[in-house]
Amino acid sequence: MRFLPELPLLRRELTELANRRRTYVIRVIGAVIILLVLFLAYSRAMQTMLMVRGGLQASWQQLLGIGGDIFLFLAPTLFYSIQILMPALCCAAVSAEKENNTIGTLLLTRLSPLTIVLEKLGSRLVPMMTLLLITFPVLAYVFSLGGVDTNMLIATLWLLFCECLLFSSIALLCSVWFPTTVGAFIWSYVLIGIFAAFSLSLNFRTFVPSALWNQMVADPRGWAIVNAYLADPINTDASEWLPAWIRGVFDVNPSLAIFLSGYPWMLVVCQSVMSLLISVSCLFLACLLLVPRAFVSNSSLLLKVFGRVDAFFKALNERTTGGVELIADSNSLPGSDPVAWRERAKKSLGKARYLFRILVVLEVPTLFICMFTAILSSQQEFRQLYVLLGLIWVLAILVIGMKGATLFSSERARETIEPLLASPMKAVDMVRQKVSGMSRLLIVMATPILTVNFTLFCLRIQTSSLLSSTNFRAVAYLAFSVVNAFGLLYLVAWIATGIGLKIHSQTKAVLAATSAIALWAVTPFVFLMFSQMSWSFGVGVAVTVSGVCLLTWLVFCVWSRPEASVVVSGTVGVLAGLGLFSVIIMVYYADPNMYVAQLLQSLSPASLVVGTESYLLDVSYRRADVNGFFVGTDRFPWLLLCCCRLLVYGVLLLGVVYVVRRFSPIMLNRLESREISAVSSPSVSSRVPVLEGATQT
Amino acid sequence: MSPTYDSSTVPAISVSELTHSFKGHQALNQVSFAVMPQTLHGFVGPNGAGKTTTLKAICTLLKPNWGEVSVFGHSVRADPISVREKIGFMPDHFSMYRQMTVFEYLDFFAAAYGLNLGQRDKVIDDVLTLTDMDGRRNDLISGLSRGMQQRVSLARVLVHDPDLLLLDEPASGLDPRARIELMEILRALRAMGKTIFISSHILTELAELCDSVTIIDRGQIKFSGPMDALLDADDETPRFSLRLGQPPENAVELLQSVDGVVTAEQPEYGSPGEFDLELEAGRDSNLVLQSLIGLGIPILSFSQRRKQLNQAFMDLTTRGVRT
Repeated sequence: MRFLPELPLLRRELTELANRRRTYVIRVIGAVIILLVLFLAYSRAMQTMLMVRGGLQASWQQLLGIGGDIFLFLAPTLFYSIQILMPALCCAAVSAEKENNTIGTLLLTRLSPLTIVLEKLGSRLVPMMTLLLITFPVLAYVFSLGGVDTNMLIATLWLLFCECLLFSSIALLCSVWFPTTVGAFIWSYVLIGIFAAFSLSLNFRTFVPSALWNQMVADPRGWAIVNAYLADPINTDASEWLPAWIRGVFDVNPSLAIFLSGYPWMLVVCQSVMSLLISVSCLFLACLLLVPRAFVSNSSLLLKVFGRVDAFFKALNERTTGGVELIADSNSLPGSDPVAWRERAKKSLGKARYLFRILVVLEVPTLFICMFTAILSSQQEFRQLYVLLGLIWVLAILVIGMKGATLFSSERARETIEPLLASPMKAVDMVRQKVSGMSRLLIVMATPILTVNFTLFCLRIQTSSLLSSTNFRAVAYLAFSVVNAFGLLYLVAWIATGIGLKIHSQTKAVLAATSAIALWAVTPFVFLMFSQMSWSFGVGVAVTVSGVCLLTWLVFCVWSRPEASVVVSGTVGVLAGLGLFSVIIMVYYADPNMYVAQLLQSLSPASLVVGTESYLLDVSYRRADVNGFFVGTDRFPWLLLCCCRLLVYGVLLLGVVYVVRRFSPIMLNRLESREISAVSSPSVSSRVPVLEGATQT
Repeated sequence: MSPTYDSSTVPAISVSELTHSFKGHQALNQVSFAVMPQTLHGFVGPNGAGKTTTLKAICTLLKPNWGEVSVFGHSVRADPISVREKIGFMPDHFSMYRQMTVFEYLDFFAAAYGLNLGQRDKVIDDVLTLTDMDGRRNDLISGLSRGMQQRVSLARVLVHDPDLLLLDEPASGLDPRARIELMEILRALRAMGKTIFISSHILTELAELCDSVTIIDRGQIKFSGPMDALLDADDETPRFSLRLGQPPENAVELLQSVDGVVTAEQPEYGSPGEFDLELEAGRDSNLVLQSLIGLGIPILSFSQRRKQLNQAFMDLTTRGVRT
């Protein structure tokens, strides 16, 4: 008798997962990152402990209890990992079956939609759980240091599971709805972002497990009040921490609260019911939609929407004006740049009319938000406006990165690239035309950024200073903003295009491009964090990070076996980058000052934007002595730094453009140079059979 | 009728010792063959035999590990740009830019092949007329049937007037009518002096269409040469088909008694008047026919049976899955 269901789909998915090399590579990288975070958390906790509990003479007994600090640093990292990885893991679950035309055969089996959805969900939860499982020894070590309540640990583990379930359910729903993995990937993150923003802005913290963890577990007051409430529900006010329905239950039945007083984690479980309900709703919806959405056509959703909008306005125009068109559509043809023409005339993110609509959709809310946040946050130095600026930057970089990564990979996926590659057009020209086809999109994405910059400029600069002869700062700020916006987006476009040239799958190209850009933005700050620790620890971690970077590059080389020239240039690039980091860190340790720190930060694109804002504000730095006491302020040469950064990014842009253009024929797997192979055979006439006599082997 | 060549004629395609492997898997092993200009050359082989790899090497989309490929004397390694100008490649899938009209699609590729604006309209009109797609020039490609899309694809291949057409499975997925029409277009193109290199699985049509053929199996060439040479090979004992008007009951015995006939038998699925005769090697078939007439049975037809291409294909290729 069979007690356990057979779960064939889950078994197939897990077998495939086990057969992939990248599964193990990802696990190793995940484990290394978790260990690094642990080192970082441990180091910070040690520094705090040494400062607070007795300086350098602290004994080992005083280490006891620092586990809590480390835990509160480690747990959010796990939540962030889930938020980043889970949608990426789940978005291909069903859409890949659609892309491979295997969904039909799957639906013809005896597996019901519910079984398919649940087994797909299981197949994605298992790898995430294995990643989380890696952290268990680390958590055990942290637990042994003391300071972590058992209930806190159980509550955290439960909320981590709920977070996995919630994010995977939303991504699975997107995977069921969208015909392509790229569509599912983008919309998974967008929907999750909207959902999180909606829940948090309305203070529905129980909807999002990580927010619940922040409220209930991370905040010591919350945890203490919940414990106190369970001990004495009548006299303790926990209205800020517990929802009304839970308090209502305990008011009716106080003995239940007393029963639960030994298990406060159960209260967290109760509160997570809402997020579980949302997960179940998403899964239910996915079951309902699986069959109707199984064979949807692979046409662009945006194009369809715009097509309908066009039809509506055309009909409206016919009715109202009898079909008068002030500016008629020009029926343009490719001209001399056919690839660029196709990008501009035939793509939803290329047509001027469609892009104008996108611009309106982006710009109008940006203007309103600018206006309101400027008014509301005037007391807080327009902090919200900077948050908005950051969000717009992230959106713009994501859109440009994804567009750039799919320029060639989408052609490969649709198998339309071969006729183009068989034409005499050079690979360099194809790449150039493809990127130039994105120019309108760059303008559209840069416009909201410049709007926020201009708003900040108007708010920060006094009208009188504009009229005075010292308005150089205003002009320079605006010029820096424009160059930053276009330069950085253009650089992102080229990097993503280069990655898309190399990686054939659309999903992998988008994932690789976004990961590469995120790593580029974050790594300098991580190095800076390490450099601010003690010498031995900082150097140790920096060496580890460098080792991991080199190891990753080596794994990539062994795995994808690129051309020798790519291996050499890539290795030189990685070594040069690490060398630069090392030099800057050494210089910082020799003389820790703000100039070197800024230099290190300059390697991240984020610093380009932050630096320009600092120039507008003319931020001065607090100078401290060796004991950390304030001894005065330093005026910082922001203008010089902004100019240097622009110069560095200009050189970087030229370098990236050169590398992508230089290696484009290799990456497109196309013969282009006039090289004569050393291994070419002897004269053709002596070996090739002629038609008059047949050759038979 | 295929044209004749002297030894100085440069082959349209010349492949010599072409060898390529993908991650340890030997896709091509010392492949050598040649295709003469203005011929229709069939390229036949089982799945995974190396047909598409060879085609990609010819059309400059693959850098082979070893060997030399040249098109009209231009090496694909040394001069890929010139090769691309001379070829029109149609891959084995129907992937096109679906959001373009037929005209826009052809204009796009005309621009990609560097045709100037003045030439394009004329060229596109010509190729649309040739492929009988004139009336659909403003239709979206997404709205066309598979057969129509294949015609547009063929029109795209012709847009820069290449001397050599490389067609990978052009008839796959087409209905019989579309297939016959495609073959008619290919015949017309050959008559215009194009060299056509066609990879296909539809052997009966290839046998009718092609002047020469190359058979490849497991990365090795099994035969390359004129179609006649393939079909007449090993034909030491000639076989004939005989059709009689009113065959007597003992027709088989009578036919076997004729001088020069080795065996006579009725084909398993043939009509009652049909017979297969195997003659003695070197025997004059006219003399045998005279003897048959002498039997006094009305003869409707008497013709030599040639080996079918699929029979030749089966004889040359190895059964089983490639490992």
